[in-house]
Parts: sequence; C-alpha cells; structure tokens
Amino acid sequence: MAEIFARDRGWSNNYLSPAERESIEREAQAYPQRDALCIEALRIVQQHRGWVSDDSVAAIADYLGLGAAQVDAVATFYNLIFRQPVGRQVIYLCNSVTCWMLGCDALRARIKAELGIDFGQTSADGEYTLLPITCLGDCDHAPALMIGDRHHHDLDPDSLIALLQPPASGQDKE
Amino acid sequence: MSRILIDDREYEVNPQHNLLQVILSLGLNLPYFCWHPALGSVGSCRQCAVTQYMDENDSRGRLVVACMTPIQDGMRIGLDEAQASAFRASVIEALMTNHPHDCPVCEEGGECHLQDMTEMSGHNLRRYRGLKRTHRNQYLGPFINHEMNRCIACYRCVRFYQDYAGGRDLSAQASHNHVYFGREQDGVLDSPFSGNLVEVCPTGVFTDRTYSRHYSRKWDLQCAPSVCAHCAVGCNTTPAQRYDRILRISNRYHHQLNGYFLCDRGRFGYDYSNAPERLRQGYRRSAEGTDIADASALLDELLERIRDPAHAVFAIGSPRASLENNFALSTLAGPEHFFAGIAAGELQCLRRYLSLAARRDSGYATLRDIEQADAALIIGEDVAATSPRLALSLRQLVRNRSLARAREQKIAPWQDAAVRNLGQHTRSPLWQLVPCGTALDDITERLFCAPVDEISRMARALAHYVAGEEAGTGLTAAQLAWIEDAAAMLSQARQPLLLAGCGLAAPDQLDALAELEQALRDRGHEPLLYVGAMESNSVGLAALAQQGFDELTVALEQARAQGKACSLVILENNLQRRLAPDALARLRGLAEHWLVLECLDTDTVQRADALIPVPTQFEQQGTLVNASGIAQRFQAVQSTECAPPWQQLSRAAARQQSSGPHARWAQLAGWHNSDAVRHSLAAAVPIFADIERAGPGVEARIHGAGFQRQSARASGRTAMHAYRQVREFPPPADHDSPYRFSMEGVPGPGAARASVWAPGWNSGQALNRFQQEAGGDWRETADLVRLHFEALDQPPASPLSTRDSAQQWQLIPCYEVFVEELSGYAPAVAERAGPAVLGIDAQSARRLEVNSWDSLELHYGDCSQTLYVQVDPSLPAGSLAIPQRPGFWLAGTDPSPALSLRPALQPLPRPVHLIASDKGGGHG
Amino acid sequence: MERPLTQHLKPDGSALTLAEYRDLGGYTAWKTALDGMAPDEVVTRVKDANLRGRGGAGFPTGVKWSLVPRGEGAPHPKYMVANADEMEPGAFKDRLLLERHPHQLLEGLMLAAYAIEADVAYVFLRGEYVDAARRLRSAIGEAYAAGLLGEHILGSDYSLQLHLHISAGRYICGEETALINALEGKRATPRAKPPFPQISGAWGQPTVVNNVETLCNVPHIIRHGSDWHQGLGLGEESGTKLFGVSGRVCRPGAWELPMGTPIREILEGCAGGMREGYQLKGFLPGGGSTDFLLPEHLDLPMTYESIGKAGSRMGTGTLIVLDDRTCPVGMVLNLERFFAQESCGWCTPCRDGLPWTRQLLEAIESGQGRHEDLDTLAEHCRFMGPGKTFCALAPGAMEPLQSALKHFRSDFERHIEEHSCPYRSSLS
Ligand SMILES: Cc1cc2nc3c(=O)[nH]c(=O)nc-3n(C[C@H](O)[C@H](O)[C@H](O)COP(=O)(O)O)c2cc1C
Ligand code: SF4
Ligand code: FES
Repeated sequence: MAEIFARDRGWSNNYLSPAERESIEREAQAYPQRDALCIEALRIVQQHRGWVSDDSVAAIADYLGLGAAQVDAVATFYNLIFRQPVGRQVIYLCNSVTCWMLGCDALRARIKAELGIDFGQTSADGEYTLLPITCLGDCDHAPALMIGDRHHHDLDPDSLIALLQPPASGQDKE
Repeated sequence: MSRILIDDREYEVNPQHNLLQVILSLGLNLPYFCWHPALGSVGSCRQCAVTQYMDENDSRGRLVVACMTPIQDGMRIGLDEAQASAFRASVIEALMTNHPHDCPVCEEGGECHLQDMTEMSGHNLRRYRGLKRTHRNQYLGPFINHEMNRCIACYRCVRFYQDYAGGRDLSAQASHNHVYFGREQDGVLDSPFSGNLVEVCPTGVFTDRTYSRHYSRKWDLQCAPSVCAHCAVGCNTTPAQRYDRILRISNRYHHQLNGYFLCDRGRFGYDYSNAPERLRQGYRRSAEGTDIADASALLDELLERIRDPAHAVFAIGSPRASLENNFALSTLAGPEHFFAGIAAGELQCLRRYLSLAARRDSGYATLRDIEQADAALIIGEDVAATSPRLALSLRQLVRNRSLARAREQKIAPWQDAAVRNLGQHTRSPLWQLVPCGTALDDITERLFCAPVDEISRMARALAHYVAGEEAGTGLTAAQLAWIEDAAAMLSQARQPLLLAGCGLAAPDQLDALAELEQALRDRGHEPLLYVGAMESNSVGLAALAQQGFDELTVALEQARAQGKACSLVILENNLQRRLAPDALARLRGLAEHWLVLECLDTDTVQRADALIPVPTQFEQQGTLVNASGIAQRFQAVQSTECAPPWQQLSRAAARQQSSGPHARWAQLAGWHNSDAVRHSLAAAVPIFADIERAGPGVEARIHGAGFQRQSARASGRTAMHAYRQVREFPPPADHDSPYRFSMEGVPGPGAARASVWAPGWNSGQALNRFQQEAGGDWRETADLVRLHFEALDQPPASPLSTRDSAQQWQLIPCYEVFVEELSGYAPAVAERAGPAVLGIDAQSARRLEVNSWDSLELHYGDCSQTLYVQVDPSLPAGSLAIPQRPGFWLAGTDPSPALSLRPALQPLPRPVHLIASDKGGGHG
Repeated sequence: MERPLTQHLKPDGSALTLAEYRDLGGYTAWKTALDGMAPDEVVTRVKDANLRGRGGAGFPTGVKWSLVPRGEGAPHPKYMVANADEMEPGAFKDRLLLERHPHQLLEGLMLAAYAIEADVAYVFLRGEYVDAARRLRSAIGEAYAAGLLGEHILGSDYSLQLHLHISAGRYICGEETALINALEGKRATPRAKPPFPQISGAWGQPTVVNNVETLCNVPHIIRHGSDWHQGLGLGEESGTKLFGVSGRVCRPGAWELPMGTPIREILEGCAGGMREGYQLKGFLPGGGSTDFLLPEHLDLPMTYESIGKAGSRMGTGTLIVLDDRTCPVGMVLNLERFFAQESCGWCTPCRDGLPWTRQLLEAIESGQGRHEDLDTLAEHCRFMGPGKTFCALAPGAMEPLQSALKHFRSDFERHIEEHSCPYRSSLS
C-alpha cells in the first residue's frame, strides 16, 4: 500500500548502452522536460550506431516514457536522422541553387560513375551513402559537399574524386 | 451576442466561437477539414478561408481562415466573395492531386466529408498531370482498416487519438507531402477509442473493419436511435442494419453524455447480435437432450406453475434488459417473487447509489458535467475499464487547468494547439485511491494504491478530516499525508468530482463517498458525484427489485421447507457471471425447474430446463437507466418475428381464461404496446414517474407523419428479397414504435432521428445542421429524464472481506475494457480481449519466483485456469489482481474463496518481447 | 568604414578565443549591463538604435523584446533563443559569425536574455554546421568557466543558463515557431500566431527568437550607444549588414557593409562583377525566397524599404546571381524543388501545392509544358501567396517564381514552344 509515482512504474531496458544513456542524461540538463530529449536521443543513438533502427526507436521511446509512434513521428520528420542503414561515410551533396548553377549535377554524375550510387543509395562495399543536402552555407565556394562531418568546397569532379580515398586517420581540418 | 455582417447581411452570433463555428451555426455552408467541434481549431487545412474586410469602405479585404478568426462585434465578412471562393476551390484541387478516384469501392463513399466539401467548393476538373504519391497501408487490428492513399492530411486523426484521447501509438510521420498517419509499425491500435477515427477522419483512410466486410452505402442502411448496451454510461448510438444483420454502430450525438465519441467496446460490440450463439428457437431439455418447444406453451406452463399452490416460482431480472421487460416479469411473478439478478456486493452498492442520489437535487453528474469539473478524486473504481467512455471525459477534465491559464492569456479555448502548447504538462488534479494502477495513470497527479478495505477506511478518514474532525487512528504516515493533501486539493477546486463505483462490490466505499460529499457540502462546496454501475440497466433494475440472491436463497429454502416445488424464471442473465460456482450449484439444487428467457447461448441457458428466445436490444423498444440516473429509450433497428419478453408475458397472461388469483395479470394482459407498460410502471413505482417521456411514444407524429428508419434514398427494396421471391414484400409493420421499417415518414425528432443527413451534407458532419449551434445541443432538445430517487432503508454493509483465508491473498477484481458479456460474442471485441492475465505484486512475485509473462495455474472451486502473470509494482504486497472473467473468482460473489496458485504444468508460450537486439546493419 | 561585427575576424579562419575577444573589449557590454543597466534600459537602447531583425523579416528587435512580460509577476522561466539554423538557399552569413566569432554571438545572446529577463538561453544550430558546433561548445565552456554564465553572474542577481541545441535538419526549423517545436523535441511544424512566442513560446513560456546576426549587433550597441549604431547606416536604416554574393561573379563572398550600400557596390565593388563571358541577367537580393531583381535595379540601396519598393525583399542580404547562360526556368525549378521538399506538411497549399508547382516546372523545363501551365503557375503564386498559408515558407517559395514569370516569361515560353530547354545547348 503506497503512493505510486509515475517514475517508479516505467520499466527500463538494457538496449541503450551506458555511453548512450550518459550522453542523453547530459543533454537532459538543458531541457525542462524529458520528452524534449527525443531529438537529442535520436541523434546520440545515431552517432553510436550509424542509424536509427525500429528497435532503437522503441528503446528511445521506452527510455523517455513516450510511445514508439511518437518517437518515430519525430525521427521521420528530420532529414539528418536515418531510419535506414547508411554507409560508413555519408556524402551530403549540396544541390541548392548556387551549387546547382555551379555544377553539382556534374559532381553527382561523377560520384555515380565512380561509386555507382545515386541519391539515397549506398555503395556495394557499404562505404558510402550519397544524400542530397540543402544549402550548406558554402555558396561563395560552390559547389560544396560534406563527407561525414567535414565540409569541402570549390569542387570539381576531379578534386571530388581525390576526396573519396579512404581518409587518413588523425587529420583534422582545424 | 455580437452582430456581424456576412455577405452584407447582419447576423447575431456567439462571440465565444470562432468564425467558422459561427458560420456553420447560422446554417451557412463553408467547407472545412481540420476543424472539429470537439477538437477545436488548428488552421492547417486552410479550407475554411473567407474574406474579412477592415470596415465598410474596404472593398478588397483580406483572406482569413475562419476557424482561426475570433468574432469581433461589427466585423464584415465575405463568404461568397470571389477571391475566397476561388481560394477554397484551389485548396480542394490541391488536396485532390493525390486523392485516388476510388470512391466507387471506398466504404466512405456516400457519407464522405471530402466528397461533400469537394462539391461544396465547386472543384470538378482535374488539371494536375503528375503522379500521385502512394503509401503502404498498415494492419491496425480487428477494428480499423487503413487506406493511407486517401489521406488529405487534415491531422484530425492524430489530434483525436493523441491529444484528445491520450493514445500513443498513432502519429503523424515524415514531412512535406509524404506525411503519413499510422503506427510505428503494423499492429493493433492500443487505444480503446480507436473506433472514433472512423468518424473523425473526413475521408476513407480509417474505416470500420467490421463494417467493411459487409458494407452498404449509408443511404441503404436502416437505422434507429439506440442506447449502448455494453456499460452503464448510456452512450447514444445509431446502429445500422441491412439484410437482417446489424452492420455497424455510429455515434449518436448526446450533448450531455457521449458527445461525439464512443468507446470501442460500444462501437464494435454489436456483432453479438449476429453471433452463431444467437438463440432463435425455444426448447425443453430432458435427460435425452433438447426438444423444440413453442415459447407460448412454455409460458403457459410457467403461468400454470405460478397458479399452482404447490409450486413456488421465483423470477430473476436482468441488468441488461429494459425496464419494460423487467417490470413485466416482476408483474407476472409478483414483486415479492422478483429478484435482481445482481451479486450481493454489487447490489448493496447500487442501493447506496439510490439513496445517495435521493439526498441530492442535482442528481449524478453527466459526462459533460464531468468535463467541466476542475479536480477529481477516484475512489476504488477502475472507470477506464468499467465505463470506458467516462475515461475519455476525465481526460478532458484534466485539461481545465490549462484552459484556465489560456483564458488568462486571452487565448480562446478553441485555439487548440495554442492551448496545448501553453498548457504542456499542466493538468487539473486527478487523484486515484485505488487497488492498483489504471489506464488513467498517465494523467493522474497522485496515485495511491491500497487494499480494498483500506480504501474505504482512507476515504472515510478523509471525510472526517474535511469535516474538521480527527482523521482517525491507525493510519500510517503516508496515509495521513495523503489525506491532508487530498483535503487541500478538493477544497481548492472550484468544482471537484467525486467518483466511485460498484466494481469492487464494496458498499463501504460508497458510504465513505457519501460522508465525504456531505463534509464538502457542509464546507460550502458543490462537488459533482458519479457512481459507476456495471451494466446498461443496473440502476433501473436495482430501483425495481428490492431483493437479491441472498433473499432469493432464503425464499427458496422457506418454500422448500413448506414442501413446495420451486422453479426459477430467469430473464437475460448469465448467473455464472454473478455467483461463485458453489453458490450457483446450490441455486440449481434449490430450484428444480429453470426457465430462461435469453438471446444468447450462455452458461445459464446450458443449465436451464427450458429456453424461450428473446430479441436483442436491436429488435425491440425499451428504456434503460444509466449511471447518471437518466432514463433513455432505444428503438428497434430491425424487425423480428420474436416478440420482446414483456409482450410474450403479456400475451401469455391474456391467454389465461380466468384471471386467477393474480389481479396483476389483468394489467399485464392489457398491455398492447410498450407505452402501456411504461404507463403502468410510472404509476406503480414513483421513482419511474417520468419515464414515459424518455423517448417518443408509439403514437408520436410530426405533422401527422410517422418516422422513417430508412433514408429517402434507400434503394433496392424490391430487389432485396429477389433471391427468394420476385414479389415485393411489404415492409414489416412495427406496432410498438412511431418508427417504420421503411423510407416513409420523417427522420424523427431531435436526437431521436434515425440518422443525420442534410442537403449537401452526406457525412455524419451533417449533424451541425441539427444543432442549436455547431457543437451544441440538438435544436429540438428533449429534457433529460432523471429518476425520482427516494431514500431507501439501508441495510448495513455486510463486511465483504476479500482476504483469501488459506493463502492470505488480497484479491483485487480487475476489469478489462474488452471483457464484457455481450460484446464478448462479437469476434472483433473478443480478439481484443486477449489472454487472461493475473496481476501479482512485486514482493509475492519474488517469493514465488515468477516474472511477467510466466504462467501460473489458478484453482478456484471446480475451475482451474492457466494464465499469464504480470508483475504490477503498483499492487499492494500480497495481492492478486484477478481478471473478472467467468470461471474466475468474481468480486462480490464469494467473500472467502478457496483459491490457490501453483506453477503451470503446461506453461503458455511466452509472447515475443518488445525489444530484440539491433537487427540492422550499421557499423560497430 | 566601421565593421563592428567582422573587423576582428582572424584571417586564418579560426575562432576568436575568450581571451582574444576580451582584449578587444569583449564582454564589457555584458559587464556594463549587469553592473548598472536595468533590463528595460537594454531594451530601450536597442529600440533606439533601430536595430531590425537580420533573419529576413526585418522586425525591430527592441520592439520584439518589449512585448515580453517583464518585472514582478512575469511568468518564469523565460527563454531566449539564437536562431542559427541558417538554411536559406544562398545564405552563408551566419555561418561566418558562428564559426569565427562565437563569443560575440554569446554576448549578444546573453544581453538579449538579460533584456527580457530570461532564465535559459539556447543557440539553435543547424546540424550541418559541425565546425560552428565545436567552436560554440568550447566558447560556452569558456564563458561558464569565466563566470560569465551560470548563477549570480559577476556577482549580480542575474542567473542564466545557456545551452547549445543541435538541430536534426529541415529548413522549416528556421521559422521561429517551428524552431520552438523542434527545441521541445517535437516535429517542427509552425505554430499559429497569436499567441506570439513572446507570450507563449517554448514550453508555453515567454520566448524570443532572434537571428544570429541580429544578436551579434547587440554588444556593440550596448557599448557604443544607439546613436552610434544609427550612424553606421547610410540612410534611414541603421547599422551594418553582412551582404554576400554567390553565383558566377569574380569574387563570391560576404562583407560587412553599411546598411543602404548600393547593390552595384556589392556586386561589382566587392564581388568584382560578373565572370568573364557572363552577363548579369537578374539576381535574388536576399536568398532563395526573394523576388528576382534585374540589372536595372543595381543602383538601389540595400535597405528593407528600397528593395521592398522594387518588388522584392532584402531577406538575408545574400545575393544569388543569375547569369545569362543559366536557365531561369531551371533555377526556379531548383528552388521550388527545394521548397516542396522542405514543406513541413502541415498546411494544404504548401504541402500539396508546391509539389504541383514543381511538377509543372519539371514539365516545362523538360519540354513537356503547355501554355496553360503558365496560367496555372501564376494561379499558384496567388494560391500560396502571403496570408494564404500557415507560415511564410510557401509565400517565400512563390517569390522567385512570380518574379521569374514576370521578368523571364519569354524563357518559359521558349521552353514550351521549342519542347526543350534553350539553354542546354549553350552549356559548354
Ligand atoms: C521558412 C522560414 C525559414 C526561416 N529560416 C530562418 C533561419 O534559418 N534563420 C533565421 O534567423 N531566421 C529564419 N527565419 C525567420 C524567423 O522566422 C524569424 O523571423 C527570425 O529568426 C527572427 O529573428 P530576427 O528578428 O532577429 O530577424 C525563417 C522564416 C521562415 C518562414
Ligand atoms: S506554409 Fe508550408 S512550411 Fe509553412 S506551415 Fe504550411 S506546410 Fe508547413
Ligand atoms: S477548418 Fe479552418 S483551416 Fe482547416
């Protein structure tokens, strides 16, 4: 016989890794409500797992006390959340207006020729996924793209191909 | 009232409403999608655009969406203005770019709001040449079909399902014109209000799956006003039938009760009427088997037995049969031989219901009253399971605090999204003092779980505390703290709601409720009161029958002691659901002959010596009393050869040549229609003085015309029976109702119309043409007919211990939305009931070494059941939450059951767990 | 010429550290405000400076702040948000300020928060700005460590928490009410106004959203005064503005110039004019959702008013140049494809109208167009025009289309008549 508080009733699972939970909890301090963590949790899980699977959606929902459909409503809205597996590296090719004028179609064609992938596709070796992205704020150096979280600009099809070599580890842009 | 100009005509309008609502209330046509009177405005569809002018000199005006525009005195609006009309046509045209041309095969066709609005806005030519976007549909369970390609993205479904009804497994997904409304994956919709999607969706995305299998066009359906048979809330419904089958139930608007929404039990339970278990033929049972028998012969024998001094005949009434049928049985057997077929504990609760009401002039709250309250304390009852629709009203109640905040910020209550954004997690207090958690926990501010008898003690202590006395001794610190806080919560409220019920069969709780109510009144508060009952006419039967099973047993024993042969006549009652197995066996032994009047093949029918089939509620007229104390009439939807019980009894009495010892039989024999039954009842029992007004009488006419059950467009009357006979059959006559089984006549008065239709409005939203104002009461309202409660002698509650003496288990009756007698015969509802699950507290689970979804064997009486276990941390230590299904221990039937638990010899297969490992690719 | 926002940017492209910023007088405005300015005074000073929002709509910033309930009895918590979601096609000005001068933004954000008596501030940053995120994170850390944020800042009564929210994408998040939904972890559909966010914003509490560039102006206004800021502009309008040019010009880039600088000076002076072999055909003056202007407009000053008079909007102030060898139909198609994809899906005209617009333009561009399609497109411009949709996305989407139909109509007609794109052959 006791007073029951909502927080005692939820059941938790061990799906999310301690590192994931820790990151989510760190973000929790920034928001007045737990359901506000939905986007953060999706981003964190994606950072760790590359994409957000159905199981991840269910686990995040469970962890935040939301319904899986409610989490999926958010997950499917935002274009930087992947609900399908992607390659080890994601190429975000800017196809907004300035990059279009300055030749993003040629870059796209070259990627297709080189890697055999078009927008939304992943190369057979699972290395690259090509996605269109809205204006990267690099218009003064168009055409531009991002590979992973690195911006590259003033590209032409040849300089682009040079980027597609497996990255040498440890180098930083800054 | 404000005055506004629409197309240069002046109108008086309600300034609290938005412009769209006002325009509809005036009877003018303005198309809309995302707005809904119960869901308010969000302004997403842009369909309701009109032109607003700054002043009389402004000739250009600007476009506004009416549903988001507040009323200003003197405002000038162009409704037919060219720019606005063109814009509205463009909106439809844009919506239609993706809409499939599948109206001919769409279940919504002919009652589709999208069709209506398309015609209204004048779009009729397709210019878009591109591809339509297509979606994959989902399996959503036995109730709802999904056809996403028809979606026009009005967002109503999620606004109802999530925002209004608190569901979590339907959402708007993706973005731009890929928005998708569905679950996260295929699966059964979890909310017990999912059926409302059918009516909330303005097109054919969410359709009634049970109806789809046999669907007819709306204009070919035969309908009548009815009242839900599946709990005591008394929601108003419109059942529809064709080809001798009930095909579906739709909501019938009731301003004070169900409003626009039903629960799924009520909407989909109708299929019991089509079930293979329906009884059509009377019989006698002997050792050899059953012999077909004529109902009138069986009744003549019954009357013979009643007249025979060597015989004693006792009658058991039914809480799911009409007042008329119960009263007829009581008249036949004599009130002293008429017993409520309700378990002792529940009957004691109902008697308290009656006397508590007698002390109040305001009676019990309606659902609408409840939605206006600003605080609620639930004592004992799991209303979400016993009275599902009520839970939806409680979800509206908790919004009142955020509505009040919105009012402070000058945000109109119809600004739905704005109010919700402002309110976020702000809620009016809803507190539960219950044995274990319920489906309302997510909106509950404080949940206190305690054993059944502790609940009564705490509620009584709270009453004392509110009255300014000592709370009492022997309470724990946690209990005392709760009591103090509850008292503060209740006294801070403008109008608190006190809610209890009969589900725990604990009359003590209702005594405590009465004390608490009185204490609050003495302090100047005006609390609302609601006491839930279990079945559609529990209250009516309790007011009619003074005695229950305990008295019946005594009477039987006395009669037998006098050397009489005893027999029972049982009206629509499955005693297995009300008596413990040994008590049932004892009753069978005491009465050597059982005659059962029933529509479905129940356990009691199986035990009977003779059966007389009776029609379902869909095939007769009658009156029910709901838990708000309101008497309501239902009408037959389809005709049947089988006469209702009151009439069968009346005819049997009429067949008696001599009136015999029973003068009552002369009255019984004189009932030529059910109006006469009600007339006699009103005269005989003062509590029912007004019930004749509960619906139109048999002679009711409008301008001399009777009422139609079919629409003026009903087609195929001549073809309907052509497979049997090419001759046209005359429609069956109904001598017991002003309604006809045909399209002749008028639709019926106000809420009692067979269905709603208006020119240009083929969908259910035609309703706004019949309301005083859109979202308001019916234009022709009939007063609510409340019972005239009177104080009763109150036998003290016999303490009903729910402790199992052997094991010291605390037994907690556990109700389920989809476990109810009649709807259990509807396959779709039965599918939703799922397996029985035994709740167990965490401590006992550890002791017994069981986890959730393990299985255990429950032994009780002669029964043994293997069932899943669910560890419920809200349960007090040492308790079992027992599903209230036949064959299990039932609340209020057996105070000290011999019940035991042991590990299952053959465990049930474990259900697949929610979260498996991450199956997908990705990378490490 | 004063360039308060950018003059100290480091040529190596790295961000100014806290120490470097402080050496330049950074956070003195913050100290001044906390030491002795009442929040109202901060509001008044910004109001008097006539600072107008740099996010596109040009709403007066001080007025926006003054609508927030303040003082005794005001609801708390209140929220102050920097809109760093820059996703407008052709806009790249906020990125510069974010990556290279994070403390300037933080100080502006903190001052704005102080002015509205906010309890919590957020930087709402678009997910692709990874470098900006890294630099902001470290700047925020520095500011906390230096006691510039947190409880009782610099010994005052004022406490402020500041967090970085990294968005998960979608252009609509830049719309301030959609941004608030995104901040709350929900789908970023816009909210109806009223109620305005200043009354009921994030979590139903008073909230102000300001553009990054707007906020970067605030520390300078507090330090140097309203008159000084007024004086920076060349005409009626005050302050400096980041202008940018992209497209086939000699030196694409962004420059801080006085408000009211003539377009020619930006396009020819700063950006060096058209590349060899290309002629100027037209330009979008302030990002993808503004109307085309023509070479004849080159001498207009870049002010909200004059650009408005010419039939366009200053928007973000980042020009996108259309040259004579780029197909205007293709360019508009590219923009409409973007807008159709970025529609949030909430209101009908935008959700279902834009894909139709895109489909018509695709048809025309590929030579499948019909003459009546141009009427339909013109109809769409009215159908999705200002006041018709729930938010400003669709009306913005119609701006380049309606002006292209007006200025480049013959290009559309040639596509239809010749059943192909006349520019395709001229592509080298
Ligand atoms: C579709 C849409 C996208 C927008 N995107 C941005 C944006 O990325 N950054 C921004 O500062 N303002 C954006 N805005 C404008 C904001 O809604 C808002 O007006 C602005 O942040 C207010 O800041 P300001 O008053 O400082 O200009 C956008 C507006 C719309 C309708
Ligand atoms: S105009 Fe577009 S982006 Fe704005 S609310 Fe409507 S659908 Fe969403
Ligand atoms: S009904 Fe008014 S915008 Fe949808």
